[in-house]
Amino acid sequence: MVANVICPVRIAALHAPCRQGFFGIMASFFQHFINGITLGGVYALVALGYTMVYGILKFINFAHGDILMWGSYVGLFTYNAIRGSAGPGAFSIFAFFVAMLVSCVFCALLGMSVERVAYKPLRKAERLAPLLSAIGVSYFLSNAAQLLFGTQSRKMDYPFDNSPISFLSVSITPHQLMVLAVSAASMAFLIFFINKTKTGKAIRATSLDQDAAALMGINPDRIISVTFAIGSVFAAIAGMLVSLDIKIYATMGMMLGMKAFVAAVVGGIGDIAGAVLGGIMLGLLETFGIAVLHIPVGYKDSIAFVVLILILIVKPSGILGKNIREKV
Amino acid sequence: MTSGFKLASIASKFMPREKSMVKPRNAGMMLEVDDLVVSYGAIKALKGISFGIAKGEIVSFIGANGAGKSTLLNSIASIVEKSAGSVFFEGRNITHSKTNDIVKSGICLVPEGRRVFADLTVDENLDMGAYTIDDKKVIDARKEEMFSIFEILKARREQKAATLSGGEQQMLAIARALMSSPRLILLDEPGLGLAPLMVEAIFRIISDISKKNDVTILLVEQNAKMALKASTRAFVMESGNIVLEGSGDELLKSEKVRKAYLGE
Repeated sequence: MVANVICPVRIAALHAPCRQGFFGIMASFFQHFINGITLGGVYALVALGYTMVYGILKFINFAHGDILMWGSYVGLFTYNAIRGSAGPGAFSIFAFFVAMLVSCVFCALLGMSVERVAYKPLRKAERLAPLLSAIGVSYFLSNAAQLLFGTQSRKMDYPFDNSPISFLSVSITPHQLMVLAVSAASMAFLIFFINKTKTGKAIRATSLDQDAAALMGINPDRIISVTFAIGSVFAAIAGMLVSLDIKIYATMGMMLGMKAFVAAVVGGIGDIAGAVLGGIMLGLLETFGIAVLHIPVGYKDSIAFVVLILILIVKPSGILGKNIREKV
Repeated sequence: MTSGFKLASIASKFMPREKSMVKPRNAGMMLEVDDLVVSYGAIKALKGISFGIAKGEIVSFIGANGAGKSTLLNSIASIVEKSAGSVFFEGRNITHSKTNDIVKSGICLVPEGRRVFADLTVDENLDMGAYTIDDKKVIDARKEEMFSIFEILKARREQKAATLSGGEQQMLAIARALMSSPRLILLDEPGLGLAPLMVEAIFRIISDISKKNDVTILLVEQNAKMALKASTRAFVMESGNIVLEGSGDELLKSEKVRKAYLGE
């Protein structure tokens, strides 16, 4: 993987002058904290898709990152088409959010179709079969994108002026603010949806016990479709958020997807709060790893996998995960 | 008996019946099960079971472990695939219906081991039981009704189901099933793993529900004495077949049942 890929949210103060004294240290801390939590918000959004699907089907949807990539392409084309030659400003911001909406709808449909075509026929097959199918879908989606959109990467322009805003020598970019706001709002919506709505409760019931859920009159097929749709919508949102900072290309979903998967496992796969926690933790670890431990930026991506190895040794079920015995 | 059976099987071999003309043997009953066969691989768990249940009955199936009792209920609810045979409910063929559609048609199974949603609260479990109902007022009224039958559940309303005792979980499982106002309820070992006093309480509730709520009940149970006392009619199962049939009282008095299942 190319190393430049993986800084989905550009860190505002990476080149900020050295700070000294207590005040300086505190300012640095908050600076890295904001950077880390922004990055973590994106990981969390993507991790939610992995964890929700795992919760219900007990398998990892390895095509999740590629659904994100397709969402970014569709979002980019829509954004450019609406925006035309308009400069940064209100109209461009409007265009961006319309594009995000289109991308969400597209990804929801794509996610549900992938489930219907590639996973549903294998539901009663051995557990390895849908996993392999997912890897196949992943290759199919990224190669199809390369075939259709070419190998050169594309750039999405900021819909607003992205010069950092400084407050007490801590700076934050408007883009970071948007990432924080959008990911927080999305997660708040998910928590509301899953806890308060009928369909949300049915998703929880189905992931706890699919047969018992069917005995309540819940149609498991429908719930599985809805779960894929929600996960894919979150991937679309994350894709749109990161696409302003990183380039869009056919395999962009690979590393981002892998890291979000690590975040989901670290938090406890299958657990929604765990995915959020794991994502934010991973974002913070990456930023502080570079800033405090002076891990070279080129090795940044390795942090996630070191964390994965450690958690698999110490607590394989993840931080919030429960040790679930296999049903006989 | 034997010769009659032989004649029938020979007749069926030589005179294949037109499908449309066949009426299930227990036509007119609420639940008609005809020649139900279920296989797990090479093992036949049910070897062609036929019976009917009339509206308002409490019917129990007793038998040893592995006799096929749970398989019978699970296959009626389509959780386990049927290999052959047919199931009619209120005249409708539900043999190949999906589990969630069977629930909509008015049958609810309380599975073995209760299977309440452990991470959901008591209240949310009841909400799930009412999944097929859209009217919030009806759901709330049903909940209040359940809380009047199972008072302990009201006190535990906001607690996660996992924190309930075994007996309370069994009550929750029954209440959850009743939320959808089923006309037929299938109970799989409602007394399993419960203290004797709790088993009695559960069976008292089962009798009450059948009278008050006009629910027909089909239950399977290893605790033969309890089940037979509560039932209007009962069947004894042995390795995938029905071997004995009679009223609850008749079977309680039957020598064979007393020896084999009541330990007397």
